[in-house]
Amino acid sequence: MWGKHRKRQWIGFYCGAYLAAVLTIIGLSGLFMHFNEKGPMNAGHENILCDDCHQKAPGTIRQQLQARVGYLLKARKTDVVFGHLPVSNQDCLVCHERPNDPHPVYRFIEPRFAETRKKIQAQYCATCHQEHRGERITNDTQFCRHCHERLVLKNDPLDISHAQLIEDEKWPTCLGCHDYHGNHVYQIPRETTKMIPELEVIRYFKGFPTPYSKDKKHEPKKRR
Amino acid sequence: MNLKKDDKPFSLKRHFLWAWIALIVYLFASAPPPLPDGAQEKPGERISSDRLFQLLQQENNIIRKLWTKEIVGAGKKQGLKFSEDWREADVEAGPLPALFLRETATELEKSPIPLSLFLGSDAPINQANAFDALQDEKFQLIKKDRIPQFFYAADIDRYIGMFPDIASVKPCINCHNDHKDSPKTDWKLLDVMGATTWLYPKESVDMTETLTVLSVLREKLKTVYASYLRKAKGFSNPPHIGDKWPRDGYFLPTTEVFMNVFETESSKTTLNTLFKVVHHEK
Repeated sequence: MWGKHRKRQWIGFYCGAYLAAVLTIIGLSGLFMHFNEKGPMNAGHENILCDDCHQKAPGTIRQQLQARVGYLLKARKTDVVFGHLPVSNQDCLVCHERPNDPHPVYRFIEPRFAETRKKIQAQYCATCHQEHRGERITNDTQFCRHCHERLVLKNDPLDISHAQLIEDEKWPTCLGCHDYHGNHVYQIPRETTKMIPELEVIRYFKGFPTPYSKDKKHEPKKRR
Repeated sequence: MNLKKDDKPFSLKRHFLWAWIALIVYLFASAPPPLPDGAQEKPGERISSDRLFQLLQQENNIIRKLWTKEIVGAGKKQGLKFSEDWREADVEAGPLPALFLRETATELEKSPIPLSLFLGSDAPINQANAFDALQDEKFQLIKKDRIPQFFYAADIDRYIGMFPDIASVKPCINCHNDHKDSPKTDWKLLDVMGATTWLYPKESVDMTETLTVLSVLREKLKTVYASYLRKAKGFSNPPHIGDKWPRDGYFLPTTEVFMNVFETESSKTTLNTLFKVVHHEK
């Protein structure tokens, strides 16, 4: 029966539909994007904006919808990204690309790292720098072991040899002397007593100031 | 109670039908042009990734020879320096040949084209560059018969081409034999010192993509040479930069002069290879 009760149901239905449509439009417009944050920004990223990393996918929302429906109906061979592109190394390198990086991520896609990639996906920035964690480095202090277990130095400058440190599995000591991306200006110690203690390195990982040196070879670029 | 025709409730079924019609009109009937379908192959000649790597390697061989002989070799005789630490602010030097390639590789990674380039060996100065696993197996084959190896790596979804890196001029072997960290000090001319590895994610490409990839490589080679010139301008005794080469004295060619010589030579080889592709010759 099309009575008062039924009429109220339809009013509720339309109100709900309009509210959902308005919220979807606001959500897609980019306003209030900070509500979508998964967690606090990492150290040094406090002032960057969402769309500095989350780039819009090609095409309008309508084109993307059209392509996705077309893909589901097998009218096209490839799917498209809806909304925003997944964040990739390229988004990080816009600000952090440096000519002197001894461990650039791209190097780890070389075939010889096939076994290493099964242990650590060093070809992705996000393996060690997961965003929205309020930290700086989201890995442990042991990761050097994945590549440097067979390190041989013909002229070892250290008081306790690198070979000995590796044999004793003192992996956190690597970062006590070496800055992974090599961007801090400082003298690498030749004595193990002068190396940075692991606790200091961990504090740096958590977002505290650098224990290496405040002087950097290259400052990050200022966003896109 | 009897309802008049106009008083009939709006059925849910009809509601959804109208919604579907509206969606179809919105998405297809009145839609903007569709996004390009990446899988749609353009008509025309396809070039295999193996052939693409051969083209890239030809260009790479020509520029390495030019850099090693005309800039590093002749430049050293005029007092120019080349060092593995050339990027350091207080070092007045240019990149050694292997580092020129590494600089190019770094520049390529900044390009949106997913082309990667590496140089490695089974006896590198820096042990971190030593081949391992499958790449080492392929390198042993290259050392044996000097024939390039082509394969596919599923975990990174890349087609791979490995080419022998042969000691063609004396500065290569002298530097490696004299280096304090070199694990091998008896290199001779024409030895296979290492291998250049190219990676690309497609099994084949069309002619437009081939030319785009080649032009990106040339653009990046130009960038690397230009960055060396910028460094050279800051030397305490900067060389004169113009149309003369180090073989003529304490000079360096401008980026345009350097690239012009390279492109004149490499374009002949590249064009010949492309003609062979069109004529289906091996």
